[in-house]
Amino acid sequence: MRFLRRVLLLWALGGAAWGLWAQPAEPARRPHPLEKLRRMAPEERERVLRNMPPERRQMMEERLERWERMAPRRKQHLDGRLSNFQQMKPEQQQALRRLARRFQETMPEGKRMEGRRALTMLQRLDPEGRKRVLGSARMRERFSDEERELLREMAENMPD
Amino acid sequence: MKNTKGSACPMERGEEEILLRYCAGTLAAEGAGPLDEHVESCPRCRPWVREQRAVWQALESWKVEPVTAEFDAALLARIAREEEARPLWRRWWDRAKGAWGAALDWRVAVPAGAMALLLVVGLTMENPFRQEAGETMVKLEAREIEQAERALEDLEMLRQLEPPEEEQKL
Repeated sequence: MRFLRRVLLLWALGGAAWGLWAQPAEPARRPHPLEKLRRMAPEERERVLRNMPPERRQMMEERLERWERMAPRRKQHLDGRLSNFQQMKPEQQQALRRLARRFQETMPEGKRMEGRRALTMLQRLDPEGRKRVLGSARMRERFSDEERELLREMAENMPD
Repeated sequence: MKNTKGSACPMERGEEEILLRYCAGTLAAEGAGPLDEHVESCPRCRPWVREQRAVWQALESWKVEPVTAEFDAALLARIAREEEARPLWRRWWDRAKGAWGAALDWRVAVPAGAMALLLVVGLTMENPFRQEAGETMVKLEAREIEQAERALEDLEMLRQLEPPEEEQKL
């Protein structure tokens, strides 16, 4: 009986020690994988990406370098928009990706810059304002019905 | 059936102890005198006493051999050889047991050993649950690389949908 009590006491002490040891230092926020990748030293990043197919790897490296070259405020602005985008429902995210692809594929190259400007303006308007602007003679003159409809849909789905 | 109770023969009475004391000379004189006569005439007691006396005589005449000067040295050398032949762990265990006594009882040793093992594991193993504050995470799993790739695509998409003036502004 004394032996059993001794064993139980030792295991209780052991359990307490384990509990203290295994307790997290603080509820740390898990960084997004992109954030981890950005924080890596070039050689670490090279090691992480080396097993990727070359084309995808090159694309990732170019995009990472482009982001690194941006001004700090620009980085902050784009990361904020990305964060808002990532908080959208997956189906909304998917819808916006489809619309963006359609924009790139269907909008003639000469109109794309104007389309981007129009999109930025439309995003800042409420639905009624968007309808008014998109129905204006100026917009009708510059964009086809399909293009204006695309801009409307995109403006509605864009994150802040 | 023969009545042995009133017999003068100690053998018949099952009292060999009297004969032993008689042989050893420890029997009182009043008992020894009549027994002398009986032993001389008894066919059972006479040979028994003769044999017993021969044993006593042999014991008395036996002399212990004197121990030689080399005996102690030879004995110690033999003990040392036997000690050397034992496994190392056994020698250590016996020494520790001699020094620590009851502390090495298995009922104490097993829980204490388990506790020590737990402490050693706890102190030497990297804690998989603990994440130090500010620690840079440099390990990325394949799934995380895909997530990073997707985030970069989305970031690029958002960037391409903004006019260049936005870039100039910021």
